[in-house]
Amino acid sequence: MRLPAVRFGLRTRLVGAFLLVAAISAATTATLTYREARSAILKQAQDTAVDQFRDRIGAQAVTLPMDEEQLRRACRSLAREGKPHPWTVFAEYGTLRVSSSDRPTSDVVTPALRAAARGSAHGSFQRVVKDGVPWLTVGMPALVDRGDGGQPTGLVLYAVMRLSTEEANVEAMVTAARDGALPALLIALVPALLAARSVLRPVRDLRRAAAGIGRGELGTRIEVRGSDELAGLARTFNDSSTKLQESVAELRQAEARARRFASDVSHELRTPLAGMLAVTEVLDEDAAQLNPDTATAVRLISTETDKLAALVEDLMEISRFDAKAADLHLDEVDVAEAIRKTLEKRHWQDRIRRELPDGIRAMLDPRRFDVIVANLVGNALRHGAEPVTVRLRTERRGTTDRLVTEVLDSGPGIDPAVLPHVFDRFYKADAARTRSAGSGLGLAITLENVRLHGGTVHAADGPAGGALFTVELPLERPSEPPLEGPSEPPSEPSLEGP
Amino acid sequence: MRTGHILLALPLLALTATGCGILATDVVEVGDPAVVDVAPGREQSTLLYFVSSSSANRLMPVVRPNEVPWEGTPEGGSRLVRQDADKALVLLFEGPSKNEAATGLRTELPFVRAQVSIDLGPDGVLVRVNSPVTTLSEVARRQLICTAAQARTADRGEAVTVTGTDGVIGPAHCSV
Repeated sequence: MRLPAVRFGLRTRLVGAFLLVAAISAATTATLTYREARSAILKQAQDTAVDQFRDRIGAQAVTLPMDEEQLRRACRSLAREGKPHPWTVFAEYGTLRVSSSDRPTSDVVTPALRAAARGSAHGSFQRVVKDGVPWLTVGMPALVDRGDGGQPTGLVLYAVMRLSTEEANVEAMVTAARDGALPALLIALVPALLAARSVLRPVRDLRRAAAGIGRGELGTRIEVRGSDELAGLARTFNDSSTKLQESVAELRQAEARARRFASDVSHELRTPLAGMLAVTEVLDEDAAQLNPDTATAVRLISTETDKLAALVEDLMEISRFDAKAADLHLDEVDVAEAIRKTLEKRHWQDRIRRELPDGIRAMLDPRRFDVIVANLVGNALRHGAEPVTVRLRTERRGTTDRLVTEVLDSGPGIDPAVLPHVFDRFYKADAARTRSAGSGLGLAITLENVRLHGGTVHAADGPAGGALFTVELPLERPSEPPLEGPSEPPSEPSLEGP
Repeated sequence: MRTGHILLALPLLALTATGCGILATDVVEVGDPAVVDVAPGREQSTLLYFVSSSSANRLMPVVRPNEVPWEGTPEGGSRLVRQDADKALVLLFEGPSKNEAATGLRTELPFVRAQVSIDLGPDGVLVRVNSPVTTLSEVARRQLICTAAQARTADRGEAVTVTGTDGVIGPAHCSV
């Protein structure tokens, strides 16, 4: 019984329950009515037959003893008067057995009825069903009254009749009940469906609204109808989603404030830093003439100022991404040439093994691609071990061609605990090493640039150990504007092993 | 929940299924028996009780028309009734006629040329018979008592005392 309850929907169950109740009440009513009507029909038929039989016998005049001929005449006379039911009359007198038919005795009259009719001074009847045919048998002793109360004459008469009319009536009632039940159930189907609809519509609305909230449409509300439990549920849902909307708006404001703060700080730092850079440059040039201790201090200041300047630049870059103010200036680029230039600009060309096939051209933002490659190679040089390999190829993915750039170092690879966080901002792989050569934003900026192109970036261990960063970019400009967000899900560092 | 519904519906269905059509009944007693007219009437006939051969111990009344139609004044009625009452017992001792025997009637009384007298006393009907009576069977005694009571009085329930050559029966009441 549990399985269908699980399998059927709410509507089916509601309609089913409704119909079941309707069927039970219809069946109960029909059964009770039927039983009452049947007993009324039968009682009337029996009473009429018994009364009539008694009256007709009372109208007979007999002599005692009766002979066979007289008995037969009486039987036939009685049989003719059987109305509305034709009945067959059987008579018993002493050893005589006579009837109005051609058989002297009946096989429908039971011994129990004979005993009752002969043994008592009462009329009796019995309904007998023989071979599926219902019969009414009436046993009636004939008494004689000679002024001192009735005394038995020894004559007992039996009337046997088929209850065909009553049977037809009873069957007509059954047919009527059966034929009436189906339309009644069909009619019950209408309120059942209406009731199911009135329950299911709010449920459907609720489901749609919940799905809307799930999609991020926090403004979704449900129309509240009536004042029942479902309306209460809808009201609660509306209240909850209002609260949720407010909280989310608050969070977004806070986040925006924080970003604006970071952006403002970077801007404010840039001007004094520019001055400091100019000064440290001059100091650097003059460091040779200073005493050694002062020269060391001056060079340290110069190095740190450079780092600070780079950090501020990175912070401003990431702020632009957060403010969605990063623009993509696409240009058709010879990719191998672009990578070569990037390496040369940073004097890395001798430390990097290059597998750069010529002739691959792609629609890219050259500045951003430069940042992507430079950050990945710089990261490999800083945290991995040489030799570092940059590999370029194209791959067909589904219907589009992808540009695949791989940067592989020969270091110990990436710790699995660190792997999910390598693209996080200011994430330090080694907690003890609080200071490193990089700003801590390099890979985060790489990720943002790749996303801006509509591409993905993966970090994994290379086939022979060492960290492997794989950047996939669309070879041609994606059909949808990339500024609205990449069509691919944000690249999660995957754990594709060797 | 559904299980409960089904369980509730099952007996109903069973009730509907078994209750269809016309059912047989036991024997039901309904009211009075039929009362027939017996010809000839009480004044012109004598009632005798014989035994049904189909069921022993069962008395069946037989109505014999009086052979001599009675004529006369109501005052003389009692004498003639008394004579008819004597006659009734004589006829009883003579046994069933041929017609009566054909319908299965018989008597338990011995066939004798009975000398019978019936009187109505304060204790009921007094019958004198010139034959032994204490050896009669139970059914024979009832034949005798019922016929005598019926013949002498209008009430067959009257007490009857029979005196024979060897003793007295009764007083007893007729029960048919």
